[in-house]
Amino acid sequence: MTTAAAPGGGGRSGSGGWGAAAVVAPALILLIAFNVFPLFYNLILSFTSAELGVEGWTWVGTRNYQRVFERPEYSAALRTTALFVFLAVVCELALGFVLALALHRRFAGKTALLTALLIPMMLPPAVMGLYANLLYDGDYGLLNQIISGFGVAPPQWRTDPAWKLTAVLIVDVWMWTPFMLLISLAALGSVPRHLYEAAEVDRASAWMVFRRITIPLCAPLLALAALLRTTDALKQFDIVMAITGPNDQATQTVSALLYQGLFADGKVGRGSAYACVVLVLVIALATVCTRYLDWLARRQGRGA
Amino acid sequence: MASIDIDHLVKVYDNGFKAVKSISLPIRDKEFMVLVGPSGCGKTTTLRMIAGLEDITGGEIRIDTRRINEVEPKDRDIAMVFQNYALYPHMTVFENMAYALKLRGMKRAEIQTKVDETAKMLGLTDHLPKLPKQLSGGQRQRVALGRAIVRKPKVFLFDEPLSNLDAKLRGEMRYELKTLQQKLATTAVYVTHDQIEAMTLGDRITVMSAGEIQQVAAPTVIYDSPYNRFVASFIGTPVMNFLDGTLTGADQPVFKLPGDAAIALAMPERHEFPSFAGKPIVLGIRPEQLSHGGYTALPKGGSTIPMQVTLLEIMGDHQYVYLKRPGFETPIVMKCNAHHRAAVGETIPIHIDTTMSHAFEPGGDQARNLTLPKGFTRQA
Repeated sequence: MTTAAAPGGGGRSGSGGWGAAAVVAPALILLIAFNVFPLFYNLILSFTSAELGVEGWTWVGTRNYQRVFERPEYSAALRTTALFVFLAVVCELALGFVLALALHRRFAGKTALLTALLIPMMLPPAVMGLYANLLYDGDYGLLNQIISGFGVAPPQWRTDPAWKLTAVLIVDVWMWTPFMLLISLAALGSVPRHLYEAAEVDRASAWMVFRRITIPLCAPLLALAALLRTTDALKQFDIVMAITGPNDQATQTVSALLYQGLFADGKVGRGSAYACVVLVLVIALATVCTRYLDWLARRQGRGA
Repeated sequence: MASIDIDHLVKVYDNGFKAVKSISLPIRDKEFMVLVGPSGCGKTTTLRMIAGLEDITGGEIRIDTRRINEVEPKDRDIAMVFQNYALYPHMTVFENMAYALKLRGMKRAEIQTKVDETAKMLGLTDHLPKLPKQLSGGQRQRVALGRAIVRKPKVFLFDEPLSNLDAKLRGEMRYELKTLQQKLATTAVYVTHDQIEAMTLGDRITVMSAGEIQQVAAPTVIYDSPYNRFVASFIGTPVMNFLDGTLTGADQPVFKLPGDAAIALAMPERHEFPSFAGKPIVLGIRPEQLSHGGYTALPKGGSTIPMQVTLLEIMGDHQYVYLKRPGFETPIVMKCNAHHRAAVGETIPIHIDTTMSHAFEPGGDQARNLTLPKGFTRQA
C-alpha cells in the first residue's frame, strides 16, 4: 500500500515505503495519541461507571446513554446551545454584512478603523468575558450607568436569568462581528465591477442590483463564514465560564455541561456518553452544511 | 432609429488625466461606427460616456437630439456588450437574456418568445438552461450579444467584445457580428484596438489617439487617404514604411534620399508640392507598393532601387521581406508573392510604385499628409 500510492513510482521497492513512513510517523503518532485514542477511550468510558476519584469501574451497558436521554439538563443544554449559536451567527452575520456595505468604499482612515474593529477578535474570549463583567456589574458597571442615564431601569445582566444568555451573546457578537465584517468586505470586493455596470445598462434598480447581483454572488463566502462561526460557537465555553460560571441553567451550553459533569461532578462515564451524543449531532450538522456549500460552489460558476 | 451626437465631449478624471479632449462626432442612424486606437487613446472612455457609466466632464451627448448627459444609464435605451462578457454567473443563459426584459415588467410569455427567437438566431437554443461557466468563450460572447439584442435597444455599444477570443473564433464572430448588424440595422458604436476588426466591421471608422480624433472616414478612405502620419502608421499591417528625404523638381517631383538614390513621385495630388520644393519631407510607402524587380515589371511612375535582404517572413501565399540600404535607419518592409525568391544577404532590385504612396510633412504623429485632394477634411 505504501509504494502503490506514489504516482509514477512503479517498480520501487519496499524500502522507499519505510522512508516515507519515517517522515509521516511523528505527525501520525501525535494524531493517534491526542485524537484517535481519546476518541475511542471516550467511547469505551461511556459504557462504564467511571468516576473521578473513585477506584475501578464496571461495565454498565447503555445506562449512561439512557440517563443522557432521560435527564432534562442534557436536552436543555442542547437547546441553550442551539439558541445561542443561531442568535450569535445571525446577529454577527447581519451586523457584519451591513457594516461591510457601509465600509465598502475608499475613505481616509479605513485601515485604522478596520484594525480597531478587529481588536476584540484578537483577545482571548476568557479575557473578554472578564472584561465584560466589569461593564455588566449591576451597581458600578459602565453599561448600567449609561442605561440609567436614559431614565430606564437597567437589567441585572449577570444575575437575572432572563438576561444572562443575552449578556453572553452580546460579548460573543462584540467579539465576532468584525470577523463577519472582514469576510463580507472580501465577498463584496470579489464581485466584478462590470457585472454592476451590465446590470445598470440592463435597467436594474439599486435594490434589484443588491438582491440579484450582490447577495447571490456574496452568498458562498458568507455561507462559509457562517459555517466557520457555527462550528466555533457550538464550542462556547469561555465567555459562559467568565460571566455566569459553568453550572447556571440559563447559560449552560453543551461544553459548560460537559465541564460540569466530567470535572466538577466527576461523572466520567455519563459525561463521555453525552460527548458521544454531541459528536454525532455535530457530524450530522457539519455534513449538511458542507453539502450545502458544495452545492453553492457548483452552482456558482465564477468563470464568466 | 437613433443618431448619436457627440458634441465637444471632454473627460477629465479625478486625478487630472485628460482622457478625452473635446471631440465632436456625429454618428448617423443605423450606422456601425468603429472607434479604434491604441490603448489609452480615450475610445473606451468615450463609449462609457455614451453608456452613462462614466460622468461627462464637458460637452454634450445627444441621442436623437435629446441631451443625455444627466440621464441614468438605465433610461438611455442602450445595450452594451463588454470585453469580459459580464454575464451574471449565477443565472442560466435564459435568465441572463431575460433579465433586462423582466426588469421592464414584460410578461412571462412574451419574454419566453423573445428569448427563444434571439437564441435561435444565435444558435444558443440548446444552451438556454446552462450556466455561463458551462459554455466556451465564443458561446459566452454569443450570450452577451443575445442579451443585448433581445432588448431591441436604440443603440448597441461594444467594448472590445472579441479581444478575449482566440484568432479563429474572432474571425468567426466578426463574420457573425457583421451579418447580425446587416439584419438588425441598429446604430452601433464599436470600440476596438484591432485594425482588422475596424476595417471589416465599420461603416465608418474613427481613429483616435491621445484623447483626440485623428480621422473619421469609411474604411477604404482611411486606408487610401490617411489624414496624418498617425493614421497612416496605425492602419495597415505591416506598418507603412516612412523614408526621410528631400523633395526636388517642380513639374516632375523627385524624392531625394540620402546618398545618390532618387524616387520619382507619381501620386495624383501634388498641389502642396510647390511650397515644399527643396525642403525635407517624409515619404510613406505601404509594403504592398514595393515589389521584387526580378519578377515584376516596373510600374508606371515608379522607380527602382537596389536593396539588401535582411530577413524573410513567409506567410504562405505571400511573404514579408525586410530590406536595408545604407542611409536608411529603419528596415523597409516589402509584401510580395511568396514565390518571388530572395535570399538573406542578397541585394535585389526593388520596384517602388509611388502612384498610391503618400508624402508627409516632417514631424511626428500629427504631420499632415501632403498628397490629399483639395478640400479633403479630417472628418467625413
